[in-house]
Amino acid sequence: MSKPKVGVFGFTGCGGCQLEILNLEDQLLDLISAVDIVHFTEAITEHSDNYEIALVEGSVSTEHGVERIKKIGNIAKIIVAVGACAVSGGLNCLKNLYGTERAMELVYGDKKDWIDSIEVKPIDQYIKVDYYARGCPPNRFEIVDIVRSLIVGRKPEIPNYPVCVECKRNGNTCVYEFGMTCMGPVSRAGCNSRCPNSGSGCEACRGVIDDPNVNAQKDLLARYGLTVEDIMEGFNLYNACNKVPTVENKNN
Amino acid sequence: MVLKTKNENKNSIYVPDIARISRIEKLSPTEKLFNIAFEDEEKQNNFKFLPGQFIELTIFGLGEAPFCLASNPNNREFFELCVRNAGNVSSALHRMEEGSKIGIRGPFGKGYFPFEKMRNHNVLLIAGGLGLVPLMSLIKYIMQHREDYREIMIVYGAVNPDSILFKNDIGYWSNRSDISICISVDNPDDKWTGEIGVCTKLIPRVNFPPEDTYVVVCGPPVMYKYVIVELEKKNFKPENIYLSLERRMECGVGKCNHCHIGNKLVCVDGPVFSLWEIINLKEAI
Amino acid sequence: MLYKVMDKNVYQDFIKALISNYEFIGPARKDRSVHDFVPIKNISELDTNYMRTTIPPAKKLLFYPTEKLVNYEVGKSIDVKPVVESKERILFGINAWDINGMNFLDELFTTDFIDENYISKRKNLMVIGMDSQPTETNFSPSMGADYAKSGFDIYLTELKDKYFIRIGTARGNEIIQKYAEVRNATAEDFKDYDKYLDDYRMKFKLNVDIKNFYDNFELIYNNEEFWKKVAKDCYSCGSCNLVCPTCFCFNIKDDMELNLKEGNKIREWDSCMIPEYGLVAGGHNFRPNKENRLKQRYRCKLKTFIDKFGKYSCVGCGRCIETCLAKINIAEDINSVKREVSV
Repeated sequence: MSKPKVGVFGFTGCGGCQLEILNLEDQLLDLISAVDIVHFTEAITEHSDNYEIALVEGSVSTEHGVERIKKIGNIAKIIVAVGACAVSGGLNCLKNLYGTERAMELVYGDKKDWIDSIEVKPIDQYIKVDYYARGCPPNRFEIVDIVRSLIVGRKPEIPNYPVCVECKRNGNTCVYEFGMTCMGPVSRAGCNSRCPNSGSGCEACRGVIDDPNVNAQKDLLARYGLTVEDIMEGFNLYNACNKVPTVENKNN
Repeated sequence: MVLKTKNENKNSIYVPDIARISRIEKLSPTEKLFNIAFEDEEKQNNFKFLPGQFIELTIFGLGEAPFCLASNPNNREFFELCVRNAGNVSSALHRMEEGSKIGIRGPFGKGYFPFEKMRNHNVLLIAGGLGLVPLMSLIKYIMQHREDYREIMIVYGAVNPDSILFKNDIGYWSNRSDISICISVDNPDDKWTGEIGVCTKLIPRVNFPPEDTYVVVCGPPVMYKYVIVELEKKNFKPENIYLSLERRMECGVGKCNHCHIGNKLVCVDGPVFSLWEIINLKEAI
Repeated sequence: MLYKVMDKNVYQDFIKALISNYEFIGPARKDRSVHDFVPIKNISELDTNYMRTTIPPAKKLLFYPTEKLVNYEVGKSIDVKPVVESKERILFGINAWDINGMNFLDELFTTDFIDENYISKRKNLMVIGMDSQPTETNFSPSMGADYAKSGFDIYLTELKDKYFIRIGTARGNEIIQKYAEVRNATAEDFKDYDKYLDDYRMKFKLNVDIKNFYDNFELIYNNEEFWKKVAKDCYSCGSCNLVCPTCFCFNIKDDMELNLKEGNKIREWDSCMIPEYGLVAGGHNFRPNKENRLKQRYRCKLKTFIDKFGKYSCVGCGRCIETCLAKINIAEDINSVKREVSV
């Protein structure tokens, strides 16, 4: 069996997702011996357009990016979106809340015409994405798990349960007990409850679960003095591009 | 409970035995039949199961899933599994070749089709789709000891003619006078001349005397409710109706609890239950 | 059962001896709201005056959140071996309801099939029990779990100037003889102990009316309105399961190392409140909504094991009530079932 060829590509984002892969430390050597890495923007200078699996980080925010992502979509058999920016648009989507024109004016002033910038979209708005390694940053062990699953031939298991599950498995005291707020009960797990482990509330960087109890979360946050606007801000931080279920339209 | 002994038992109920796929036959566009035997001959010789029981099949490095045994329990050289390409494990199994190694735990399940009680009675077997698989083991056993049983009738519903399983066996039985078989399909093709619609509507035509008949049923979850209504109209007795239930299972040995329905565990107490056992058990049907 | 008494002034030496001779797990303060059972190296870390722990101590030590069950190497042949851990440990300071929770797990993991992975750890765990103060969500007396009759090697009860000791096993007796100075309990000691038990029981404030639940539940089961109301705010987050001393549901996963040679079967705590719990490969979900899941959890806790083991699988510790952000309260709901049927 020949090793699958893998390309790691970066789009608009901080580049931290690629760093997460490089941060695999003792698993990194196993990973690169299990697959053939033919492109990795942050790690190697070689480049080839011959790959089966594409790991893509970052969101698409330029015309040039649109061309690039479409090309990757044409070559790769399997596309994995890595990190919140690629999966849901991530923080970059906050730009869309201003409108591209307004945001360009604010940032670049009269030089705005020099800049190639379009509305921010996650990569699945341009190409079909097979699997999502969510999170900001993504869980590097989950990236390994996705690659490993693809090698052995099964569907990677991406959790569709809330962060609370992992948080309790880790034996954490709920951060609400310390008067903090947390999006954990409605946010998708898979991060091993990273933020609550270190004593801060979850910010839903992996998006919300398929069937979140939005009303309960609203009531809960209201008990801690938050308004609907605060709550929407909570949902929007990483998910502004997505149509997250709003508090209003889920009321019944 | 006080635990005092400190004996080092290194046997674990989660350790599978190595087995080999000796033959693969495609039965339909989505189902394949696998002949499997343990690598260890002694293990294979000692592997005894009852119709209706199941095993847990491991594909190493990939996952484990439960499957009902489909072969005649008297066949001691190998056993058969009929698997639909549906989940991670089953689709990996479909990609495997003859000679591949897998892991097997089992057989499991205290609830089986009571072939002893059925002797000297009529047996009505009702199967929907993949539900024919667990019944195959019982049918093959009965056909081998045909003189011990009275009238045998199979009512089988399939989605379309292509998806009919075990066509060879069915063809063979159709030519025999000591077993009757009615097949109905939901979506017929041009060549189909048989019954059309759900198999439930064939039940009113059965004329077995209720006091003298055992009924076994296996099919998709939605089927049971309708079948039971029809069987009750015919006055078949709940204690003589046996159903094989499907639930999610992880362990097969009554620990992981996924398959529980109230006080019953499908893996340990089932997978075959009499209707009487579960008649008022919420969620069972 | 042997009844002994130890003077308070020898207690410290007894504990110190245990700490230096065994792997000693006991309660220590974790943060301002909870304690946690952790390895204790020095008696100063030990704080038996605790009320709350997030994960029940016995579950934490015997049934890990994730645990390797089987290891295999895949090459020309496949070499499969069980991973069974067994090291001698002392669990010190576990309270009565958590011991009863452990007794339930013991029974579960030895019924029908013996789970070596659990039971080998259990056999090597010496249990020294001690009462702790109940929280206001604790209703263990209603569930018959505020007192431990078995499951411990030694049970210490702190009285005014002495410890009343119940010795449940020969192993416990050995330890006492070796490391503690004790005398036989006298009529006077029993009298003090009796008084203590009466006072201790008074500290539990929450009562539930569980007596007719077994049958009443069958009527309520089909009452959709009732369950809609109860489950309205449920997040399906599984917190209630994961902190429960008797919840034991798990998944088994097979995994391959990246070298594609070595693999493992791993078990991981699951939760019946998660939608995927009832999902089968064909795509059918046997419990698709949160009402189904919550009532099935109540059935499992309060009815199922009456049939199987003759007891509830709920010990009334109140952890699920404390942990639920949606404020779903099993004690209240048991009482509402009673009200719904009787009024």
